Amino acid sequence: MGIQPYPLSSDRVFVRRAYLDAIGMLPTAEETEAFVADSRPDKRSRLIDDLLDRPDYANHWLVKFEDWFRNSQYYSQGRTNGSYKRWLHDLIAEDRPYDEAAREMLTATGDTTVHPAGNFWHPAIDFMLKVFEVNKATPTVTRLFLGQRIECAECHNHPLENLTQDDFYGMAAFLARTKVKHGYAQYRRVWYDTREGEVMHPNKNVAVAPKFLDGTEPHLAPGQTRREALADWILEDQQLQFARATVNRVWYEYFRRGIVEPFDDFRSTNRASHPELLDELAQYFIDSGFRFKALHRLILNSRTYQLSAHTPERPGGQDPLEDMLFARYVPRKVPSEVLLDAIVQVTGIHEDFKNYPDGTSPKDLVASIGATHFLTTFGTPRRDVLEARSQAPSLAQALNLMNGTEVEEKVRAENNVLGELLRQGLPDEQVVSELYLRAYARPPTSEESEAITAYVAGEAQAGRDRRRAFENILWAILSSKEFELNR
Amino acid sequence: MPAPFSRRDLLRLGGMAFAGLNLPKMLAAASAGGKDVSCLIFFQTGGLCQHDSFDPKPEAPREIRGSFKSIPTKVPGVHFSELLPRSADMLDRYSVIRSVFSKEAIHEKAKQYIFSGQRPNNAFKHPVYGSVVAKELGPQNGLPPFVVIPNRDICADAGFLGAAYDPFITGNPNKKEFSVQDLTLPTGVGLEEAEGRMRLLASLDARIEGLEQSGVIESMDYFSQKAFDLVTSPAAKKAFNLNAESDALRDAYGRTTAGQGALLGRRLIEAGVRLVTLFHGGYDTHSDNDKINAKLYPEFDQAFAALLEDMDQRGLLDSTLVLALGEFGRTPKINHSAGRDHWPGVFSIAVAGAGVPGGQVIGATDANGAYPTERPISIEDLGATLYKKLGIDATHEYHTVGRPVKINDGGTPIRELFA
Repeated sequence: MGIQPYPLSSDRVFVRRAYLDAIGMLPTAEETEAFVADSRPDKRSRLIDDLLDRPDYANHWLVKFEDWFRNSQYYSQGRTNGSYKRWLHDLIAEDRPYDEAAREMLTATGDTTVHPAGNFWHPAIDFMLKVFEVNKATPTVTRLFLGQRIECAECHNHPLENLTQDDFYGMAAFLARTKVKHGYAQYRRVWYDTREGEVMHPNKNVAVAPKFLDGTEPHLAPGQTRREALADWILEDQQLQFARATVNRVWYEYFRRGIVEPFDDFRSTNRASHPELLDELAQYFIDSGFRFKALHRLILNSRTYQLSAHTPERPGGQDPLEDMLFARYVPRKVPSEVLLDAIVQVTGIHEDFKNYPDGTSPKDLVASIGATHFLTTFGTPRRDVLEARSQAPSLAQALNLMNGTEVEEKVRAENNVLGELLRQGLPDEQVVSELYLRAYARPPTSEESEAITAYVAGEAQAGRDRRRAFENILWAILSSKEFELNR
Repeated sequence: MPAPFSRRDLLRLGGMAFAGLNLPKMLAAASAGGKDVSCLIFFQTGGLCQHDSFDPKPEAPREIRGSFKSIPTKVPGVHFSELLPRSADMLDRYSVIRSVFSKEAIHEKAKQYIFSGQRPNNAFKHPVYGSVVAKELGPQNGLPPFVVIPNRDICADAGFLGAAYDPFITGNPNKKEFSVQDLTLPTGVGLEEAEGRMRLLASLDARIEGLEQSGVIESMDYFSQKAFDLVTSPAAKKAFNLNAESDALRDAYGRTTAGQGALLGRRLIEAGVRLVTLFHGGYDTHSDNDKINAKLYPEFDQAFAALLEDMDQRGLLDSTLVLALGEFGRTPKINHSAGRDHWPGVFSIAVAGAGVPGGQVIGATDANGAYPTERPISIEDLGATLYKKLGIDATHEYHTVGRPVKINDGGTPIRELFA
């Protein structure tokens, strides 16, 4: 096809990108300069190691895990979301083997405030009727752990795939004996397994025996529950597919496109764009003992991840195929929580969240309780569906940047970054340069510097004060594409 | 200063294409002038009781008919509940369908169903009508195409079409100090300064646009310009300003969420919004049905009648489809808490404008108001009707979720509404 990978990103681009992707924060001006000045050939991998060891790494990826597993007030009514969040946090921070954690979720029993892994099943509870809906839980399991969408087969045989309603209900039968008890006001939930209970085939109206998606039937050991048999099958018999689905999901977070795309839709009529790569990543993940940090380290160190996003100077500019083939880093909007943290970092002014202590990061909010207008506008999801969160730009976002209080208050605050820089009596160019470093991890070009200092001069001529001019510059930086994008 | 903030038409068209509106469609939309059909959905959140509204059963036993009397309407032989006197008196201007049924009995699912015309499933979330309209027809006169009054609702969003087609939310217009969030420039920032800021921003953005082409960047550029248009356009600003209406008219609509919401809805439609959904809550009367309805239904009655009258006078009704409906009906039999529970078996809706004939009653129900006996109308039929009125090809398919999804699946436009 004649498509060539783009050149490697510059150090300044890389440092900002790696911080945003790995830990969801901006590098400080000092961190950026230290990295740029570092002349060691392996400085990129050193930086990656450093980032993955920071607490911010777990806090940042936690939000993604909460998206994946739908830790939502919407399902858990608030009370047990905190325990689930802590459990997921520890899974990431301690780099627990993911197969072990998956088994814990799949087979969870007991009170979810004490055994938080059981929160995994909460999105399948109909909270009006307080019942566990096996038909909702079944596709959740296959999508999350196998990257396979079988929900269509709840109602009809798949038109193209070898996937029938019998297959769906055969899988659903593994959850037929999973039950939940509700405590006071649904806050407390206790999961357990019974010895009886079947799912009925909707058309044939007969009980369906458990059968795995590959057509095999379980041999239950004495005392083994159906869920335990399901966990064995997914994590042992289907180990490679479990690993493929997981690495593809993580790959999507870095590249905004899965090697199989959509990232949780593996099927014979939707093949991987790079099957060898996918299998090598999956095997690496297995060999590493299902440790996420190893996978992050591998991806972050790859040339593919470190490619430039710059459109080459040739007629026609960027070729759409390049994004499909991972020939460049695709610029993307940073998630809402990361954007707000970045605004706080650049301005030096905290965001206040009702009922949370000062200095709380939006990543610390429990299951979107306290998610503000800003966060929901910029894409913090309600986690009511299995779909990945939308990071699409919208009119509401543009309006919020222009007029909303979050940016405005921080720009105007007396004690913000401008207060500090102006107090130091720096000349205009240097103030601009400091702001650029904080926001973009680069100094302004000479054209940019000239344009901005000309703006300050123009404002002075119009009789407006210098601080106000810089407030508007700070506003423009925070509203700019380069700031909102990871590139 | 390079690249001043101006109407960069080429980029703008690029952005449009990304936002789902291609050039021919946009030109077609422009050439249709003011004739595009808009839609206002007056939603009775929780479900309107058929017995206490458009389909009273005076002959039924007490525990079925309830405590409200029936009254004659403008159309001889047709009776409504006494709770809707104004609507009864205006029946010559709209149609009532008494035989709509749903298949969902839980609010959340029933709302998703009636807002999209598509049965909810566990596989993906369908976009609601407003989001489809936003995608297919795009904005008009610088206004957002899809607006929800007053608050965001989990069942009224773009689903798999993504946040770009989510509704614009107004907040509650019945609040004393009503102003739409993020719609006006921050306090102390004048138009001149705002323009200066935008020029500055454009100069900052110019670099990255040249360096890194992507759909996201085009789309951000597009929305940023739309936002600036909206904030600075006197017309748009006017549309959201309820204070521009006389006190007399505001009183006529009623100083309620329903009344002021309907009035705001009319202003928005007038200014170019394509689909407005107004949520009027409180209809979920599991207990104290009579007490609640005696207060709530007159609010609807006043707002709905005022809306039709006002729209009619302004010549807006011809080009606006007005739907008054809830997600389902209420149980025929009154329960032990003097309430009525969820009832998808049958319910009544009102339809006006956009060529819908007046004075029609479509369909009928059994003696208890429990099931249709004539002309059952499905939710899919309502969807097909709405899309046909708005000129959207309902057979069009989206390919976002791994399988093709038709905009409308299996509905037939209700012929009586196309005179």
